[in-house]
Amino acid sequence: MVKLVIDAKKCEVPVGTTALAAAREVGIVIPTLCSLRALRPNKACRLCIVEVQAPGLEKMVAASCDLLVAEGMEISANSAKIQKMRRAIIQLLLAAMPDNIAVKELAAGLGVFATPFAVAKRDACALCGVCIQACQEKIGVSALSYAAQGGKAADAVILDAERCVGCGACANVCPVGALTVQDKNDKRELSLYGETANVIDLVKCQVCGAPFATEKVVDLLRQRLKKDALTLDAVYCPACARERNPAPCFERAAI
Amino acid sequence: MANSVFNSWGSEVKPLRYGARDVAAVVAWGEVSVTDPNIDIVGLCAEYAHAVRDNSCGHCIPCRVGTQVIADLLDKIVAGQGSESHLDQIIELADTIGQASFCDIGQTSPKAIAYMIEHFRADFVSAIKTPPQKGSYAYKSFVTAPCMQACPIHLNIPQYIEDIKRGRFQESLDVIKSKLPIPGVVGRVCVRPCETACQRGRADGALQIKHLKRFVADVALARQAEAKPSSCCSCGAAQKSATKDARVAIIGAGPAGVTCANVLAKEGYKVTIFEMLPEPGGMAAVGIPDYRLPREILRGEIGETEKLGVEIQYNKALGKDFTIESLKADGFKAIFVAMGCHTFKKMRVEGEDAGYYGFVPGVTFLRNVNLGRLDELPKGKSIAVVGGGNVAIDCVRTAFRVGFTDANLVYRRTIKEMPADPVEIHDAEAEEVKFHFLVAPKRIVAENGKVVGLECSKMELGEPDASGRRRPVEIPGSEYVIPADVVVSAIGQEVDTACTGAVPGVELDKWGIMVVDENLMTAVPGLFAGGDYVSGPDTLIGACAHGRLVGKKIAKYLAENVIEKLPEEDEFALVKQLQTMIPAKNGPLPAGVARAAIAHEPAAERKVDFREVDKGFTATEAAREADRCLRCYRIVTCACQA
Repeated sequence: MVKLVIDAKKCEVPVGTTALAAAREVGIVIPTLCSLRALRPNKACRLCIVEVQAPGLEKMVAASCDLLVAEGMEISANSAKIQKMRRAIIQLLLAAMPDNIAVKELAAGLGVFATPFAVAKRDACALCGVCIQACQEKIGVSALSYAAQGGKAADAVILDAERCVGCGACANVCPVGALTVQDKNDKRELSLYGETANVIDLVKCQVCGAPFATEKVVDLLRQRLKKDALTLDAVYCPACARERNPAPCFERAAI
Repeated sequence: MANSVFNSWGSEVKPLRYGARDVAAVVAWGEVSVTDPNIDIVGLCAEYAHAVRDNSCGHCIPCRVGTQVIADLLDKIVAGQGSESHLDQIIELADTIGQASFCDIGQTSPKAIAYMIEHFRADFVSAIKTPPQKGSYAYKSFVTAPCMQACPIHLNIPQYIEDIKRGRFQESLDVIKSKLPIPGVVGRVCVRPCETACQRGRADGALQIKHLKRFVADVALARQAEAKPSSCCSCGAAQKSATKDARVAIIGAGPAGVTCANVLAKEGYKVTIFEMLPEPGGMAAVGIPDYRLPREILRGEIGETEKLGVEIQYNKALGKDFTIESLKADGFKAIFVAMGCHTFKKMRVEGEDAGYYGFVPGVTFLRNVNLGRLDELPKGKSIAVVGGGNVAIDCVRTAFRVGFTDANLVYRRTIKEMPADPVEIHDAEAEEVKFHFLVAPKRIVAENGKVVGLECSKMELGEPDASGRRRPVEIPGSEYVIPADVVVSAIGQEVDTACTGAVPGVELDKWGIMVVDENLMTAVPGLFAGGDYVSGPDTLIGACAHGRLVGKKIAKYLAENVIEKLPEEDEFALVKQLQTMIPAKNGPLPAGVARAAIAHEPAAERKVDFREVDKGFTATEAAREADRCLRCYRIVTCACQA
C-alpha cells in the first residue's frame, strides 16, 4: 500500500494505482474526457491534470490518469492554477468543436460557456483515440486508426471496414458521440462522423430468435474459443446463454 | 530588431554552424540563441510556431489546438493585423500548453515562443504597428529526439514506437526500413545507444527499444510465413531489376555493404557485392553466434535486398580474385570498400606464435563455429578466453555450445570496466562462465606442442589511462596457471590491409588503411570506404549508418557528379553543437510502469545448443512497452543567411 495526500485528504491505495483512481477513492472529482477504467491511460484530453509534489522531485503538473502514486506524494487536484489551465484546455477544445453537446456540457461543468480562441479548421471529434484503443486493446481487431489528412497531425479517425467486426465497442466508449451504432432490419450500421462507415449482417439467437450480434463477432468468438467445444455450434444471445450455462465465458474469450 | 546576441539559458553565445553556413539564430527545444543581432525575431518566432504546429501529432488537445491558435495569432501579427492583447494571450496559452501537454513537442516548444515575446516585446509591438520587412534569412526546421540523435543511423524511434502503440506494426516496420534494411538483425544485436539516451531512464528504466524493433520485424516474418510462399518479402515486390546504367561494386556483404546496396538498388542502380566468405552478413554472420542472431534472420533480411536486384558474388576476395583497379577496368562507376575488420590483434605473450595446438584467435574460433567447420576447432574440455569485449563473451558462451564444460574468461580489469554489453555479461554469468577479473595473460603453457594452460598474473588498478579507465598494474610474484585445453585471444581486431595493396591516387594511413574525407570518399572520385574498415571494430548499427550515407552519396555522385553532405547530416551536426551548450535536464522523474522484462530460455538448457536465448515480445507486451514512450520530440528552427 502507498500513503499519499490529495487535496489535504489522506489516502492509502495499492501500489500501481493511478492518481486519478486514488482521488476517486477519496471522493475527489477530477474531470476527464478520455479516461476509462477498462483501458490503459489514454493521456489525450489533459483535463485530468493535477499538481504533484513527489518526495525528492520538483513540483510539476502531470496528467493524473497516467501518474502512478508514490509514497509521500502530495497532489493538488483542484488548485486555482489547475482550474485555470483546465478552463484554457476546454476552451481550446470548444474552439475546435463548438457545436458538440458533450463538449459543451463538459465545458459548462468547468464554468466555461464561450471560447476566446479561434481556429481555422474545426475538428470532427476530440481525436482522443479511445475508440482506437478499445478496438486494439480490448477487441484485438485494430480496425480504427488515426489519419492525418491535412499534414502530420492526426485530424480524423478512419475505419477499415474489412477488419471491423461490428462489435460496437468504439461507439460505446466514444465520449463525444462521433461514432454511433444502430441495429435495424437484421443489420448493424456503424456511423462515423454522421456517415455510414460499415454495415454488417446480424445473427439471430437460436433460442429466442432476436438478432444480437454480427456474424463477424460470432466468428471472432469462435476463433478465440476454439478449445471450448461446448460453445462452437450454439449461437445464443447473452440472456439465453446465461440461462443455459451460467459460467462466465467472457474470460475465456479474452485476447 | 533584437540588438544583442544572447541565448535564453544565459551562457556565453557561441557561433553555430548549419553545414557550411553560419547560423544567425536558432530555436531549439524551448531555448533560443541569437548570434546575429539583426535577426528578425518576430519572423523567426512565427516560423518556429509553424514548425511546432505542423509537427504536433494531434493526439493531445492542448498541443494540437493550442499550437494552431498560437501559429494563427503570430501570422496575424506578422501580417500587421495583430494587437498587443494577442501577445498576452499567446504567453498565457504557451504556459498552459507547456505544462499540460503529453510530450516534449508541447512541453518545450511554447516556452521558447513565450520567451521571445517576453524578452523582445518591443520588436513584436513594432511589428504590430508596421509589418517587418521579410529578412534575407532562410529558415530550416526539423525534428530531433535524444534517442534519434544517439542512434548512429538516426532512426525515427518515437515514430515507430508510436505505431506499435497504435497497433500499426507494418507502418512501424516501414519507418525502420526506410533507413535500415536489416531490422530483425539490429533488433537482436544492437548495442542500443538510443536506450542509453532514453529519457525514461530518468524515471523507471529506458524503453526496450531494441526489442520493440525486433518485435515488428518478427511480426512481419510471421505474417509472411502465414501468407502464400509465392509472395516474397514484406516489401511485397518480386525480383526487381536496375533501371539505371551505372554499375556499383561493393566489397563486403556485411551490414555496411548490404545497407549501401539496398539504398542504391532502391535508386535503380545495378549493384554487385563481392564477398570473400561463402555466406552473407560479414561479421554479423561469422562473428555473432546463432544463439544471439539466428542465421535465417540474417539471411532472410539480406535476401530482401537481393530481391531488389543486388547480386552477391561469394568467395571473391579482394587482392586475390580482383583488385580495385580491376573493378574500375570492369566498368564499375563507383566502388564502396566495406570489408570490415576480420584480423585479430595479438596479445603479445609468450607462446602466441609458437603454433601450439589449442591456441586460436577469437575471430577464427567464432568463424569456424559459425561456418559449421567444427572439425577445425581444437578439441578439449576446458577453455580460457582472454578479453573483456563482446567477442570474448561470444567465444566463452559459444564454447559451452560446442562441447566445452569449463569456460573461463580472463580480463585484466574489473567487471565495471568491461566494454562488453552488461546484458551479455549477465547472460554469461547465468550460464556459469567463470570470470577471472584483474588477471592478465603472461604465457601460454604447452606440453609437447599442445596447450595445457594459461599463465596469468594478478593485477591491481592504478591511475586512469587515455581511455579514462584505470590502468591495470601487475602485482609482482602473483603468477598462477589456469588449466585449459584451449586458449582463445579476443582482445580486439584489425583491418587486413595487405589485400588492398597500393591503390593509385589513394592515400593510406600509418596502418595501411585508405584515408577518407568527411563524405567517406577517398581522394579518388567514386571510391568510398566505410564500416569497420574505416572506424575500426565498431557497432553493427554504425556500419549500417556508413552504408546508408555512402549509398546516398554514390547515388548523388552518379546522377549529378556532386559529392555533398545530406541535409540530415547538417541537422544532426547542429543538434550535437546545441547539446553541448544547452543545459541538460538530468533530474529524476516520477516512476510509473517499469521497463518490460525479457523472457529467456533457461540457462542450463540453452547452453548446450544454439537456440535463440532471448524471446520476443507478444503483441500485448509490445503495445504496453511502446505506451511507455515519452515522445521526447523536439523541434529545431534555425535561420541562416540565404
